[in-house]
Order: sequence, then C-alpha cells, then structure tokens
Amino acid sequence: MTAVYPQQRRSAVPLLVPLLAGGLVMVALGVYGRLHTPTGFAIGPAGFSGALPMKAWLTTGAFVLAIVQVVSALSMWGKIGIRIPAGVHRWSGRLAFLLSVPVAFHCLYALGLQYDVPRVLVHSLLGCFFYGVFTAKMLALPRRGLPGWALPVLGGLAFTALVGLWLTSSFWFFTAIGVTL
Amino acid sequence: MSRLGPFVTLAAGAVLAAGLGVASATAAPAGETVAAAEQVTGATAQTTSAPGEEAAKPVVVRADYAGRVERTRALIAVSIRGAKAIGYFCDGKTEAWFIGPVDGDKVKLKGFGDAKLNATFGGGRAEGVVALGGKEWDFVAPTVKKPSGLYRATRIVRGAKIKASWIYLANPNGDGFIQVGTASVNDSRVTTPTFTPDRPINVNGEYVVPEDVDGFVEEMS
Repeated sequence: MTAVYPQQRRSAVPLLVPLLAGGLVMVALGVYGRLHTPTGFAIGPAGFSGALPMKAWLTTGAFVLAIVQVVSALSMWGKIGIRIPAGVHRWSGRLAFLLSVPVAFHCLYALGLQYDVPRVLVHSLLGCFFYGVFTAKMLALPRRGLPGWALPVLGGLAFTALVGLWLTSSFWFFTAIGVTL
Repeated sequence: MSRLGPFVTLAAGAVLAAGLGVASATAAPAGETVAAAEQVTGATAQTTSAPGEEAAKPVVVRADYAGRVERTRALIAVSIRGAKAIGYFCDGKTEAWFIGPVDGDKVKLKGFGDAKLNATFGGGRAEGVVALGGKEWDFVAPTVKKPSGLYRATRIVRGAKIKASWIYLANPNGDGFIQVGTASVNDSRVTTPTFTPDRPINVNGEYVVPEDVDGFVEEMS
C-alpha cells in the first residue's frame, strides 16, 4: 500500500479570512442600505435618458462579461480544450466589477435596501451577497494552499448572483418597461 | 504584482464608489442657473440687481421652482429651460399644465381654456398667480433641487395611453417629502400611485418610468 501525500497541504483554513471579510462586506452593505435615508438621486455615468436605463445597460455589460468569465475560467481549468489567455479572465472580471459599481452605488445611495415587492427583495439581498462573495473571491485569490474547489465555488456563486441580479433588474426593466437607452 | 492584483481591483471599486459618493453629496444645488443676458436671445435683461448695467445683467436660464398654492391643498411647479417655461398645478383631483415663453424674469403661461399662470422669478423663488376654473390663487415657490421637482410619465401599452404626473417636494419642516399627482389610462382617471424617485412606478398594473423636466420639456408645446 502506498499512501499518496499531496505535495502541499490543502485545507479550508486559508479561506477563513476571505470568507469573514466577505461576510462583513455583505452585512455592511445591507445595514447601510437600511440605515441610510435614500436620497432619490445619485451622480452616475452620463449619456443615458435616465438613471434606470443607465443601470439596466451597465448591468447588462457586466452580465455579458460574466459569461466571458465563466468561459475563460473553464478554459483555465482545462475543461473546454481551448486556451484563453489568463489576462482575458482577469480583465473581463475587473471591467465587470467596475461596471457594476455605479449601479450598486445608485441602488444603495439613492434607493436603499428595499423589500416592498419580491423582485426588489431578491435583488437587494443578491446585491449584498454578490459584493460579499466577490470580496471573498478577491481575497482568496492570492492565498496558497486553498482547496481545489474554493475558487470555482466562489466564482460560481459570484456568477450566479450576478445572473440573478441581471434577471431581477435589467431583464425585468427591458420586458416591463421596454428597451430604451 | 499579480498577487496584489485582486487587492488593486477591490481598491479601485472602493475608490470609484467613494468618488461617486463625494460627487453626489456635493452635487451643485440645481436651484437657478444664470447666464449673461446677451447669451439668451429674445430675453429682456431684468433682474433684481444692478439696474444700470444692461449687458452684464444675469438672467435665469434654468431653474426649478415648486411650492404650495395658498389656501388650497395644491402644489405648483414652474421650471425654466432657456426661453421656455413649463408650469404644473395639481391638488390630486384637478391638474393643469401651463406652457409659454420666458420674458426676462417673468412668465405668462397659458393652460387649457382660460387657465393661466403668471409669475416673476429670480433670487431663489418664483411668485405669482395661478388662475383656473374661474378662481385664482397666489403662490410663492422656492427653488428646489432633485429629487424634489416635477415629474411626468407617458407610455402606450397595447394601445392604452398611460399618463401620470407628480410634484414631489421636500417637506419644508424637514420631515420627508410631500407629493401630489394624477394618473390616467386613456384619459380616464385611475388611482394615483405613490411616486418614488428613480424607481419604476406601477400605474394601474403597468410600469412607467417618470421623467424629470429635462426628459420631457422638448415634447411639450
């Protein structure tokens, strides 16, 4: 019998700090969203007919980049047999995150965390969850000795949350109101 | 370098959010925007200050005023956009739109039938008289900044024409906002939904996105 020892000890311990930090971000955003009195107004990128179309399109941009994220991640893990440069994954992720910031800022600053209708409740909670998971993923990335499942799970959760956010905002907006710039 | 990358990404997001926060918190109060008189064609320079210097006298080229109409439950809004002015009176039951040209620091706006709205503006407020249905009332409306102001939504859904309008106004006592509005589908009144700025509003089962004055001023004539 030959025991196979992994060359490097892998455990979930290095995940602890990223997960705690992510949890704090999640809670902090939710608490801010409830305590801060919504202003009903926020500065954001210009060029759209209003705040809601701006948010619908930026979120759609992040959503498209999130699909690039999944494809490039699958390539990185050798699951699709195509080599996509690592830079594609990094920069599509960064861009998606930065596109989402003005949207989330408007949500939290101008509107606050709301739960008057189910769509808004789900959207509010997913929004807080997304930034928590994203923070955990970013903080976990540079750590060594993570379990193999850690990054795919965190990335998958971030992707799932973003898809949910897009469905409960942009997709709802385009279907309920119309596709307007 | 690449080990720092994720921290840089998070920091960039935080900096962007903080920048938007500072920009939003310090956003110039919309109030009144003035320009030198000669820049506005067709406007006679007439303001409260410096009566001697005709050429340099500032005129209001952009302003939003809103306030209560004396002795009524109504709110009134007057917005100046260049040489054009729009007025709206609403008490939740009766509403009236007014439109007309800007003449210096005065507007004489016409509404439907014999309804009219005359006001003088500048120095942070508009004051005047609104006449409607054989009655008239005085009003004094200070400048307001977002999210206070006049909002309108129009949308056609499967042939049904939805219209809704609101005046949304920070409560002078500092306690939240007051609002009045009306909503209609195919010109018959429906329950006026509560206006919440920058959110879609459900009018009789269909959603509309109210626009501020900049969003609809071009459509009005």
